[in-house]
Amino acid sequence: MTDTADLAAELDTVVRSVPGVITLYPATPLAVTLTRAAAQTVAAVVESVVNSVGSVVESVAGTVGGDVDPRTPSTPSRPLVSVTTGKAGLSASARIRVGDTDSATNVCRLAHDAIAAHLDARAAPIDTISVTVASIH
Amino acid sequence: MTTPNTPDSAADLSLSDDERAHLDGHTIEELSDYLDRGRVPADPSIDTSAASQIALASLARLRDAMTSLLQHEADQAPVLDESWVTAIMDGIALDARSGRDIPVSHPSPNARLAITEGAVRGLVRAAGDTIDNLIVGRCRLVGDVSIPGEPITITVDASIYRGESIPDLANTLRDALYKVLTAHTELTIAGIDVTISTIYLTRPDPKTDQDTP
Repeated sequence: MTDTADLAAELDTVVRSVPGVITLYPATPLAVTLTRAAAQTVAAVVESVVNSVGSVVESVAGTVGGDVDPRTPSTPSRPLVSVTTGKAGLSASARIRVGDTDSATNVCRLAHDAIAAHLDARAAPIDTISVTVASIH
Repeated sequence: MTTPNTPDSAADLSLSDDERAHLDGHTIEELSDYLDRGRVPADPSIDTSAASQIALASLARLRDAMTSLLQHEADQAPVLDESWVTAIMDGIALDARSGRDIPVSHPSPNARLAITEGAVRGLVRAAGDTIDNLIVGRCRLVGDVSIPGEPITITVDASIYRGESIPDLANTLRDALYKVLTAHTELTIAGIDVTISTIYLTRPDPKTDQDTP
């Protein structure tokens, strides 16, 4: 994995450990993710056809199957926290579900603070940290 | 009463046009079927969709309420208006979509914190559905929720048992909604307008219940 992917995986764990966070949702809806995966698959297929007809099936399966593990939707194979690199530093984004016993606004701030603390510990420059409460229950 | 001036108003007229987009690629009927199947086999596109999860939670509560109703009404007035159920399900689909982002304050200039409108509507619906003899039909946040401090009016359509006190239930609903909204959001609530849009079926006669062995 790249450094960004490693960091996203770490932040995934960090956010899940915040009291009041029930689960994470993908930063982009799965339907969009699958559409992108499909586009990647098409590209992979075209490339594979050029290189070797025999590698097409394996390429398609690898691209789609590696995106989301359908058996354990709460722990997908890719972290659900998104990390990107911009000119001013890193941008991290998380969409969370919170329980209704804790204040959603407080949990949202706690999730932000946990991400910020983790990035500070790694001396990573921060551009933005986005946390969205997508459901409360 | 505040006139709805949000995108919700237009959406009311064209639910079927982009319902799948509202629910991350699913219709409310597909989610209802998923609930029927006990969410098996697991569908990641539903299980990882906040909108679908909000809708499923509402559908489950509606189903519980319907089961209770049918048990109570089986010997009395078994005529159930299916359009009423359809209207409730349409409301669930509309309310579950993410909608606008409602900002959450934070002192850091790098922070971009928000609660989705869909999450708040789901919260409102859940709070309303906890009140006996009342089912929430639609919920709207009227006003520009993206501006901190902007006065927002909550409008809620609800159905109740015939024979219940409408003012009493409306006040109970307002109190419950105000409590959860102030606990979970930073919205400036200008008012909570409750409309009892449907009065369904009839409440069982206690004497009849007592006479039944």
